[in-house]
Amino acid sequence: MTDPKLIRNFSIIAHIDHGKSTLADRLLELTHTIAHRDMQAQILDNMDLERERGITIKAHAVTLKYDALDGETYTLNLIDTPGHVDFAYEVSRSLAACEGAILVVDSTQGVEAQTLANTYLALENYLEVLPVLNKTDLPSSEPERVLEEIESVIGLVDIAHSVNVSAKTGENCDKVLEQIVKYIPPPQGNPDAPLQALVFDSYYDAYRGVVSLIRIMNGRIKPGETIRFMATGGEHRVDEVGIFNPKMSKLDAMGPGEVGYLVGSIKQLSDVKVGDTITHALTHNTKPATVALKGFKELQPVVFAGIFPTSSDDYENLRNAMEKLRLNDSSFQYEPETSQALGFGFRCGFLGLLHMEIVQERLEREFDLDLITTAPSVRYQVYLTDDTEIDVDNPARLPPLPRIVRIEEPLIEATILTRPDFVGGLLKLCEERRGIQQRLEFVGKDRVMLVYELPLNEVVLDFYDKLKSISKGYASLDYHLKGYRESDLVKMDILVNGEPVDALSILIHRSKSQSMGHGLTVKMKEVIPQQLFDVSIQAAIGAKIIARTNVKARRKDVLAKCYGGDISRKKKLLSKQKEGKKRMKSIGNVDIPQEAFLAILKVDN
Amino acid sequence: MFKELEAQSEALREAARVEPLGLYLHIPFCVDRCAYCSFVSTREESLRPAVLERLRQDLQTWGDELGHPLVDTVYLGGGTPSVLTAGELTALTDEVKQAFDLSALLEATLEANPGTVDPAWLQVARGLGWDRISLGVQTLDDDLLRRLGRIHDARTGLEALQQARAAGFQRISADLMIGIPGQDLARVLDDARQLVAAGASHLSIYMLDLDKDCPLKAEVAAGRLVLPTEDAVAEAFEALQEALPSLGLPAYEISNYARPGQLSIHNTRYWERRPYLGLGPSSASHLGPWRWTESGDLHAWTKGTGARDIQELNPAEALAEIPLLGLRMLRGIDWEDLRARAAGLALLPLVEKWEQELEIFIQLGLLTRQGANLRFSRKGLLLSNPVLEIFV
Repeated sequence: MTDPKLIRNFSIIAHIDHGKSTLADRLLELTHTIAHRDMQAQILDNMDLERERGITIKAHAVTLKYDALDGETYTLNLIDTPGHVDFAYEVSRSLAACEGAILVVDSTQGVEAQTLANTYLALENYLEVLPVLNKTDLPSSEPERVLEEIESVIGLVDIAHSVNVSAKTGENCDKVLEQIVKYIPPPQGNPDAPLQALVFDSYYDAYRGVVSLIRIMNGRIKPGETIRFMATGGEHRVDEVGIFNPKMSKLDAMGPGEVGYLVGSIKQLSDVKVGDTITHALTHNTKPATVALKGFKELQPVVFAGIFPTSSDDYENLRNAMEKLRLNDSSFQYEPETSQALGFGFRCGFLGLLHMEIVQERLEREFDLDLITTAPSVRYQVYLTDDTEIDVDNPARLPPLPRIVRIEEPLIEATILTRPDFVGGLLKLCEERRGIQQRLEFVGKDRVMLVYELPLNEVVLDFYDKLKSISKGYASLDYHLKGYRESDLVKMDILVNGEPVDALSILIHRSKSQSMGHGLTVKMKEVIPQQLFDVSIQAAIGAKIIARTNVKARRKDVLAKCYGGDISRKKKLLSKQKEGKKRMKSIGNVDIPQEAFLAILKVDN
Repeated sequence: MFKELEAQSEALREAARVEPLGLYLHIPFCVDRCAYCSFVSTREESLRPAVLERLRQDLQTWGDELGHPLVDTVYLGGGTPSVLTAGELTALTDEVKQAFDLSALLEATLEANPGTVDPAWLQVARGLGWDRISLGVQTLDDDLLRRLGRIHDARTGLEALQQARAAGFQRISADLMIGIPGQDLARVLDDARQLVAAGASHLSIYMLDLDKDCPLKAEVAAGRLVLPTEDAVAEAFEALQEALPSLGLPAYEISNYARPGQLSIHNTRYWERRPYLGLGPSSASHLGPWRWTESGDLHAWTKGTGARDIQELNPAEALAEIPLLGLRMLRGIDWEDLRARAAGLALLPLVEKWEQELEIFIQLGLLTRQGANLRFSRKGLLLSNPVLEIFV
């Protein structure tokens, strides 16, 4: 076990593209955790999707050995966390495993809402925050201005220990290590107290079963012992504990302040919940802690959508894929759903829109499936005439109107940080989305903070994309759920050739139904290819048609070219065309492409 | 014969004995490359001796290997066969006659570019036994011809037809292209009328299709030319469907119109799945259960090192080709005959699956079923791909 005085546990907070992964790569190199020749860019983001999108989806931990200027060798545990608002809870648990956080800010840009939110989370967890201004090699770098902004926006952060670095060139990155040792406090904890270890993430390994990422708060743990997860009550034998450096390496035991992994006889990811406390089971030589660590909560999905296989033959494959995916993503929920239009599929719950996109992309990519995802919905509270209340997250399942007394919709509080020149456009966007302004203030010379209360269903429909385009990328968004409010919502159905397509129904505020109906039918017309017959697309509220478009029939789809006897070539052309259609869903003989089901996300709201 | 099918030489010989073959020869030379062309062709004169020598060897080898079988149709395509000199054409024709038994010959077609023919050459060709000529007229609008990068003008196009007739060709086909940027409907109809009046007894109507890279595609991509809309092309095609029968040339295939008795026997064999041997770069063959395509890399083909694309069709694939190809003919196919064949191969469930999938197209009026006969309606011809996709 390592002396806690020689341990530093920290996390890195940064906005996308501000250089978190690059800085982490440099720290790994400088501490010889990874030899330069084995270095692969963004070593911690090892999922293809993470590298491509430049985001962290899963938390990681890596242990570095650093020979500091004071002659001591320190154990630095870097806990890498997802940054996106969808994963705020995971972030909070990762931060709870640390005593400090490095706040990486792009010195050519400035503080973003996402960084702000995570920095507040760090401060709430009493972390020491160490500012690191990155990209100082660029001509447009303004470290002083950005530092001033950090001070005025975040206030609490002590900017005196900040370091200017270029993670790209490696300049000054060694100073970051020295500051970590100097200013981030060592972990506390009593090795002789009952065991309390925080689970800050977990993943499924085909050979080892569930691997838990843990931080020991009090007590000691070693293989052979029986442990208990305090929230779930599950008891398991510990087979192995160890650290990532960056490969898994076994330890004989772990004590206070140490960060690493635990492998035991745990088969299901749902047995290990992020934020849970591990303690010992009551045995002849161990006893459990009486209280769990603070901060645990059951994660609730906020965004819901149907996922269906394009080909009904793939239903079983999809079910298997979802089971496997859930092994590694316990916040993803699914249950079987039947749609008249789309057949058998699953109603799924996600932490947010990004999470939804990631799940669909992973299912398609890792399991080679063609999928239809329906428009995302939030969970409404519907009060009925028989004095009962039901939750509805699928507009197709809304009870008939006469049975409904009122519908309440979820609200969020959104914080937007932007430059003054984009405030006008963003205010307009928030107002259009039925937002109610809470705060509008300058934070720093060139930065404005907007706080709005917004209906969540307005935010899940392309709000983020709009925000980005209005602000040319210079706005960031963070939000949290605030509660429910009664709202005048109506169900809008979409009819294709006169037949309502249940998977296309949405719940929408009455004031927007006309423009949304128009926008949606126009957008559907753009994405539905011409067919062999005219296809009408109608938007309806109840029996009333409020908008209509028409996809005219194709006039020609023929090979009329001189290929002589090259029949194979002709067949290839036809096969290619046929493959394209396989990616579409046939509803009443109308081939509807994937995009049509998400057209609602592209409508100018 | 080549090594991939060496082991099958007996089966190939047998296939060539069962019924007469078609013979296709690809002449990969052109005076200039057309702006829309993606065929194998070169302007490099120096390659000619080697290419013609290679073709001669292939003719001899295949003739020997297959046991000098009967060939009842010959088709000399390209490229531009009419760039061959009278001497080269004579030599090539002699080589064909030596390699194969032409005693039951029904038709010998050569393709020609109106810009490369003259009366003397045409007379030589006719004298050698070529009895059908297919002229790549494309359009009779000089601006459009220039746009297409053709080397001839409208007057030359019509003259070529007259010269062919004067040389004794009774069977003259012309290619007419629709969908050219800037082409209008009245022009297309007038072209068709003029070509028929000038003696064309067969017309092939092709749609300009820029599916592969070519200069014209680049022009369109750059916004300098605008392709007609799908509707406009469909209208032109439908107008021709209407006009050509009244000019005496009813359609017999999706793209082909002919006076009665004047249809292309060679091309019809493609749709009827009768055997043919293709020699020359990029040429396609169908013999027994095999289909193969020669390398389109001219140099590699000449050296004999090009890769061939060879497929052996299984019974289900072969069966599917019957409707896939046969439905292109306006007379359609005998569905009961198809069922009977399928039953013999234990493939009836496959045919029943097709029947289910065809139902919607019959309902939509794209296909007509009368007794055993299944064929495209006029509307269906233009929308044939979705139907034919069932069979690939």
